[in-house]
Amino acid sequence: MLIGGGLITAFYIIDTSRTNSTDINTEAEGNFLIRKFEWIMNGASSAVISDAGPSSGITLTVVKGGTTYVLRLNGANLELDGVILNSSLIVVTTVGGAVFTTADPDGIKMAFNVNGKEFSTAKHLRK
Amino acid sequence: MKAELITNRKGSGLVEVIIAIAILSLGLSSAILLAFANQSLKISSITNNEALGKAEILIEKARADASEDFSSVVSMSPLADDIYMKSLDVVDIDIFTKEVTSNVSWTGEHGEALAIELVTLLTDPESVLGGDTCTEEVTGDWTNPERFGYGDITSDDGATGLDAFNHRVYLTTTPSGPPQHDFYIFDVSDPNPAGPPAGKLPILSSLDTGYGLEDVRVAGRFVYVVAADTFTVQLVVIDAIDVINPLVISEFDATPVGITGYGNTLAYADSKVYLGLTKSTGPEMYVIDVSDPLNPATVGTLETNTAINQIVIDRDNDIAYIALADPLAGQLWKVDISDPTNPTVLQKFFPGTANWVGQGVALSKTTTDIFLGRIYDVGANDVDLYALDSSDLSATPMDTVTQTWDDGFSRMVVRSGLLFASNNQPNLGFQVWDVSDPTNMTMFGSLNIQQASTAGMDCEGNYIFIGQRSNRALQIIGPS
Repeated sequence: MLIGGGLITAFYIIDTSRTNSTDINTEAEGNFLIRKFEWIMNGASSAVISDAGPSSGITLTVVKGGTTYVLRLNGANLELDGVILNSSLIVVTTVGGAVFTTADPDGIKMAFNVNGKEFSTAKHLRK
Repeated sequence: MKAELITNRKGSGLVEVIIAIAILSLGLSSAILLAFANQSLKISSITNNEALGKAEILIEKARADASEDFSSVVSMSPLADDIYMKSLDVVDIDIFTKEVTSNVSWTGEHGEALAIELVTLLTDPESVLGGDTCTEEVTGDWTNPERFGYGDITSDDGATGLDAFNHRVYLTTTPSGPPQHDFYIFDVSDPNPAGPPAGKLPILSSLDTGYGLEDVRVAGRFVYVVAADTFTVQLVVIDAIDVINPLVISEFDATPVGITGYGNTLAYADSKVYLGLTKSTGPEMYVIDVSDPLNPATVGTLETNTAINQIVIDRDNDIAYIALADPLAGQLWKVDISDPTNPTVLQKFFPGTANWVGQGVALSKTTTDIFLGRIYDVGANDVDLYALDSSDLSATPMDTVTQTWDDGFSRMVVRSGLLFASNNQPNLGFQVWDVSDPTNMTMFGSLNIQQASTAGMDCEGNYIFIGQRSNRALQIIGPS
């Protein structure tokens, strides 16, 4: 009985540690993607969501300091100018079929799931 | 002896097992508690992050709203969002600054109250540089407006124009002769000073430009005034960084030699002065670049062929609304000023009668409603207030007000569905109209001010500042 109890406890502790580790990774990855979005939107002069075709709602084109940046959900990865931002351990998916939606006044709301956990933020253009 | 020893050790094995079980149980319990504590810590960290994100979004939205319309940033009542309650507290620090606090609160795992609070200061650079310092939100009882402080000037010719800016009122007059001063700065930080004499507002400074002045606008440290009754100077720039010693730093003749027309009114927006003249042999509106106040330069003109009595700028849409004298030329013009070198008329409102003069215009900040005030000229009694749709001036007016010949709306401000107007009627010189339904304008409140008001009127905070005839040139009006 004692050995059984010990084994169950050990399993529980190990399982909890693994779950915690996964959740912390998910949180860190989600926050990293949010910070990337905020960096792009800070000081942006324009931000346009692709409004047609398969990239509608998942592609954001931002002009900042004369440079154009494209943030896009490609499959399970979020890409900045074609470079994958997230690690291969996580899966990024849309919320309601879109990652980017317009926010009032003159801004963009970003919402996405990382391994099923939702992250969202909004940034507005500074005039 | 041996047998005695064996007898004494009976049961010690069981005690050892019990002790071992107790120690093991304690160890297991601690491990389980540790695991649960880890779990709690993780959940707490995740909810905290989520709350922080929501608080950041609230602040970000307030900042964006402030850059669109500073006065629109107001407190938000608590709102449920999943397990969180979100709210926004806004405190006015001064006319140009608000302290904004975003609060996100929730209940922790063990029933404890948790909250994230982010605080920031938002400022209004547009107002600092010549924008409107009037608050959109109206407080107090305006059904019975009351007189607050007043300002006396030496000349008994009264005020021709005024601008309230940052607890000061800048007032112009056209004295009948020198050496009387034509420019005054009043301290209105206390809108109703105890005195003695009670209510009299202190004059910080005054000066004589030598021309007599028709109107005034303040943009930061610089004050732009319109010179009256001269063809050679229309715009005078005063540096008022030292309000005790304001200095004339430049005088500008907008009209080419030989062109008639006196300075009559002006507006300021984005380093441009929009100067309106009386009927001239040349254009009546001049767009003057004052990015270098020492060297103003005309960049565009507009021919109206009639006197311009007020210009109101819609900065968000780069539109100027102009109140004009002659009904045959259209008494309200909508002008595209996105290209200041080429102001382009988009629409005109023709009142259809030829008797009254377009005198004032007020544009709602929150709707497309626009109001044209008129004063009596000649002939029969007629409409003295029109409610129009600024998106289509050619549409039939939504409503009109016709009072007596003595009446006539000269300057107006719209706030929270109320129209505050200076009126020509001697016994009802200040009127408040409920225009929340512009198809049915109704009188909301009024006040018999001491002398009938003239062209000057402005608003700052919750107070209305009215220019009056005679030497009691300034009257502050507030709610009861």
